[in-house]
Amino acid sequence: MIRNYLKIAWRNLMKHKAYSLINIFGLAMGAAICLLIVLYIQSERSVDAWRTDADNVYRMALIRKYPTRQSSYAIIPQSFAQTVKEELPEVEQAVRIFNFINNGTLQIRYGDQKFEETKVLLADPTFFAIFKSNLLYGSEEKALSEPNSIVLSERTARKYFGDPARAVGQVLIPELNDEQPLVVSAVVADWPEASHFTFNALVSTAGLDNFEEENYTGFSAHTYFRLHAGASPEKVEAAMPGIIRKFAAGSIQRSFYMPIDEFMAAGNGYTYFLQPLKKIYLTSHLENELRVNGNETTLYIFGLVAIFILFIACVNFINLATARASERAKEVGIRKTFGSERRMLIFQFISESFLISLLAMAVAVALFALLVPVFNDISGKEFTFAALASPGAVALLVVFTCITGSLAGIYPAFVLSSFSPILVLRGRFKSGSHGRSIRSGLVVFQFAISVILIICTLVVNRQMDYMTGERLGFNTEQTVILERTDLLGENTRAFKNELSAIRGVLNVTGSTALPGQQNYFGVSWSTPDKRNEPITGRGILVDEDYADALSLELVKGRFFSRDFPTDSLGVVLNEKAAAELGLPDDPIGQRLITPEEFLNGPEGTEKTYHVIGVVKDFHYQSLHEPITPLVFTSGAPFNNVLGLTAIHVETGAMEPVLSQVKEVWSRFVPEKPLTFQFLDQTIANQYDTEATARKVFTFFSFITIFIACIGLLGLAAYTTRQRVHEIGVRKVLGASVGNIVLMLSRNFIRLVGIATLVAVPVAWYFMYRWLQNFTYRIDSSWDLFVWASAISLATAFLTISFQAVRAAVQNPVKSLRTE
Amino acid sequence: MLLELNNIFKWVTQGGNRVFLLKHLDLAVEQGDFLSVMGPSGSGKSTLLHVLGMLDDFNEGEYYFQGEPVHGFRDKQRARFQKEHIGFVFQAYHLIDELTVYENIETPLLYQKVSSSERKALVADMLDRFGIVGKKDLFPAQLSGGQQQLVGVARALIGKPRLLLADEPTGNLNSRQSREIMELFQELNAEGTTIIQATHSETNAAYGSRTLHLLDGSWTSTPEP
Ligand SMILES: Nc1ncnc2c1ncn2[C@@H]1O[C@H](COP(=O)(O)OP(=O)(O)O)[C@@H](O)[C@H]1O
Ligand SMILES: [Mg+2]
Repeated sequence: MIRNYLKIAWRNLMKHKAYSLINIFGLAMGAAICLLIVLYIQSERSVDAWRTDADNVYRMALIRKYPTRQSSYAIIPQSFAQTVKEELPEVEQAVRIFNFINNGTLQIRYGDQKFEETKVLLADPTFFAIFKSNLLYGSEEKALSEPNSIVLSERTARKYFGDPARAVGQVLIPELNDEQPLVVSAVVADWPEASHFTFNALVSTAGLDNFEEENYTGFSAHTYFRLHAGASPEKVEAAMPGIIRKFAAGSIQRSFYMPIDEFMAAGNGYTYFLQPLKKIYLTSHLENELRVNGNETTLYIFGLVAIFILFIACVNFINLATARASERAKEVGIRKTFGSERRMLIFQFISESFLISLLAMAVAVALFALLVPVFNDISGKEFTFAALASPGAVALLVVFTCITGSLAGIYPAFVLSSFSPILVLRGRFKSGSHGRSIRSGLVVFQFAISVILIICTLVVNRQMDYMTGERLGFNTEQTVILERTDLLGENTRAFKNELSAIRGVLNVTGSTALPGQQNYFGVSWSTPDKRNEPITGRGILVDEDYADALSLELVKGRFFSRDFPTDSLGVVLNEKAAAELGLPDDPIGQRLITPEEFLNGPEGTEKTYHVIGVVKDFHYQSLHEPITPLVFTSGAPFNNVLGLTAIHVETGAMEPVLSQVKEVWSRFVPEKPLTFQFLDQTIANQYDTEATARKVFTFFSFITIFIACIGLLGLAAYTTRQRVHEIGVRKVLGASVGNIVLMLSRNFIRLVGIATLVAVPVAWYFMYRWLQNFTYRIDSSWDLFVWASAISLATAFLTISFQAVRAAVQNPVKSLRTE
Repeated sequence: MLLELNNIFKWVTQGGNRVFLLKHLDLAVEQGDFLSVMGPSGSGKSTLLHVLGMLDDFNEGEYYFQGEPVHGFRDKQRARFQKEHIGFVFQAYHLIDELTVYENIETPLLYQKVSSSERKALVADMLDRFGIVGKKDLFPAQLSGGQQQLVGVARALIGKPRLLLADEPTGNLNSRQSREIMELFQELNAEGTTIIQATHSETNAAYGSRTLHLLDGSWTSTPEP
C-alpha cells in the first residue's frame, strides 16, 4: 500500500514540477539554515563543556560599587587567591592568570631570529593542577614551578624550533625592559579554541616579586578556585565580606585615606562571587574578560529564528498543498468510494509530505555546502561541509525530515481527507476555496516574521551607524594611531617634529590612551578639603596637541600648552569629572590631589594640581557605558614619552603620509617594524558583537523574506492559473493589463499589509529591549517601520506581479480556448 | 431480497425551504436483478444511486441491505458494507490520473486487506477478462473513453461486489463503445451480479430486466415488487 502511495506522490511531483521545486527548495533552504544555526548553537555551547574535570572549578569575579555607579570585573586583586585558599576549607586549589601588557603581544627573540608572539599569559605554578592539559614534553609539576620558565603550545614550539621535541630547555629572550631570559619548560598540546581563554605561551609568575606583593584593592588577576567535591560555592561567596574586612582594610586605608567603615558608608563596596567555569563563556560579560565571550541570549534568538524559518518553509508547503486541494480532491473522492477510510488517506498524504521533505533534505545538504562559507564569514565560526558527517548532524537531518514531514503534512492531510466523495464526484467541489482563510492567516504570519526581522535589521544597522558615527564628540576620521611610541624615548620630540613636517599631516599627538582602546587607567581625585570624598574615574596622560588632534571642544579654560611650564601640574577635566568633584561654575584654578603614586613626588610627597580647562563630554569609551569622569594630566613630566601617537591627516593624504611615517619610524626605531591602527577601526572594534548581530540579522531577514516570497510565488502562480479563464473574459471585455495585475495582486498585498501591522508593535517591543543594552542609543523612529513595510510590500508585490503580468499579457483567445 | 427502500426522503434546505431530492421512495431489488433507472436530467437518479451505494445520507425512511438496517448503521459499519458489497461505475470514469491501468484496478483491493500475491492474481484475471492486458501500464489519459470505462468497470468488479451501481456509464461513449459496455453488464448479470444503472437511453435501459422512471425524486409509476 505504501508503495502505491509513494508512487502516486512521486508521479504528482513529476507532474507539477514547478510546484514541487518551490516546495522542495523552500523546505531545503529552511532546513539548511536551521542546520547552520543548530551547529552554531552546538559549537557555542560546547565551549569549556569538554572539561570533564571542571565541575568544581570557579572563577572569582567582582562587582565593585562606587558611590554613583557600579562595574563588574573578571579580574580581582591579586592577593585573594592565596588568602581565600588558606582561609576557607572549601577551597582545594587556586590559580591566577594575568594578562601581559599590550594585550599579550610580545616580541620574542630566539638566537638571532625574532618573532611577534600573541596571546602570552602569565600563570601561577598551579595552572596545570586546575586546568588539566595534555603536556607533550615536560612534566606537569615542573612546567611552571621554576622562575622564568615558559610553556609553549605545540604550534608555537614548532614555529620557533621546527620540531616541538627540541623545545624543552631552549632559551627565549622577551623584549621587555629587563630582557630576563625565559627557559622553555614544557610543550602543551594546542589549547582548544572552544575555551573561554586560550594562549600560545604561558610565563610563570614564580619568583616575580610584584605578583607576590600584598594587594587587596587593585584589580589584576583572573582567579580560579577548585573547590573540594561537594563543597558549596555559596559558602565561599558568603565568607568573602569577612575576608575583605580582615585582609583588605589596610589596603583600603592606604589607597583611599579612610577606614573601611567610612569607605563602605560612602557607598563603596566589593561583592565577590563565583562563576562556574563552564558557564563563563556564555554568561559572563564583565570588564577585562580574557576574550570576547559568547552570548546566551543570542543563542536563544538564533534558536527562535531557526524555528521561525523552518515554520515559514513548512507554511509554504501547507499553503501550496491546500491551494492545490481541488486537484487532489477527485482522487480522494474515488478512493473513498472504493473503500478507503479517512485515516488511510491521512496516512497517504503524510507519507507524501515525508517523501517531499526527504528530497528537501537532500537538497538542503547541497545548500548547506553553498551556505557554509557565507555563514562562517558572518558568524566567525569555522564550519566545514564535513560537520554534516557527524552522527549528531545526521540525527539532526533525520529529525528535521520528520518534523517538516509531519508539520507540513498534517494540516493538508486532514483537509484533503475530509472531502466528501459525493461533492467531489458530482463535480460540485469548489476549487481553491478550501482553507483559504487559514492560508491567508499563514501568509500573514510568514510576512509578519519577515517584517519583524527586517525592522530588527534596520534598527541594528542604524544603531551601529550611530555608534561608529560622528556624534561621539570627537574626530574619528583620517586618524592613524602608532603603537609602542614609548620606544622612542628621548627622541620623542624629534620624531614628533619630523612627523608634523610631513605634507598632509594636520596634527600629531602623544598619549597613553585613545578612544576605542582600554588603556585609560583607573584613578581617583579629590579636592584638598574633601580628601575623604574622592571621585573615581579614568585617567590619561597626553601631550599638548591631544585636544586639537581629536577636535575636542573646550567649554572652559584651555588645554595644555608649551607656553605654560606650570602645566605639568595642570589637569583638564571632562564635564562629568568637574560635576562629580562638585567644582564651582568657573573651576579654573581649583586645586586637586590624587593618591596615585606616579602622579606624586618621590617618597610619597603630595603634589597639588590645578584645573586649567574643561572639555565637553565625549565618548572616550564604548557607548555601552555611560560617560564617566575623565582626568587629563600632562605627559610633560615624563618628557611626553607615551605609548601611543595619533596623527590626524588631511583627507586623501593617508597613503603618502603613511609611507613617509613608516620611513621616519624605521630611522628612529630600526629594530621594530611599525605597528599602527586606524582610529575609526579601533572604535568599530568595540562593537564586534553588534557588528556580528548586524550581519546575522541581515542574513536571516534576507533568507526569511526569500523563503516567504518563494511561497508567495507558488501561491500566486496557482491562483493566477485558476483564474486564467476569468482573466480572458475580462480582457475581452476591455480590462487593461494594469487592471488585471491589480485584481490579481490586491488580495496578497492586503495580506502583506496586515502582516506589517501585526509585525510593527512586536518588532518595536523587541528593539526597545535590545536598545536598552546601550547607554547611548537611537530612538526607534517611525521611519524605520515605514521602510520595513515598504521593503516587504515591494518584494511581495514584485513577486506576485511577476505572475500577474504574465497572465495579464497573455492573448485572451488562448486562455479562453484552453477552457 | 438484496435490498429494500421504504419511504425514503432526502432533502436539502435552500433559503429556508426544503428542496426534496428524493420523495416518498420505495424500492425492492432481488439478488440477480438488472434494474434500469430512467429519468430526465436532475430527476434524482444520481442521488438515488449514491444513497443506495451508501455514499450519501437520507433524511427519512428505511434502507435494508441483505436484511440489515443501513439507516441504523454507524459510519464505520456503512463503510465496511460499502467496500465489501458495492462497486461503482461513473459516467466520467473517475480513474485516478496518476495511476496506471493496473494500479487503478488494484486500488480497491488495497483497502480490503488482500495479500499482494492474491492482488496480483485478481488484477491479472480482470485484465485478461476485459482484454486490456496490453494496456496495463498505460495511464488513463492514454486510453480512449471506452477503454477507460472498461477499466472503470474492472475496478468496480475487482472486489467481487454483490451490487454494481452504474451512473450513466455510457454517457460519454459512442454507440459502439456503449454497446460493448452494456453487453458486458448483461454477461455480468448472467453470472449473478446485481446491477442498478441510471441512464438516459431507452436502448441501454432495454438491456436491464426491468426499468423504473424517476421524476423530481419520485417514481412516475408504482414499482412492481
Ligand atoms: N447537495 C445538493 N444540494 C442541492 N441540490 C442538490 C444536491 N444534490 C443534488 N441536488 C439537486 O438535486 C437534483 C437531482 O440531482 P441528480 O440526482 O444529480 O439528478 P440526475 O442524476 O437525475 O441528473 C438536481 O436538481 C440537483 O441539482
Ligand atoms: Mg446524474
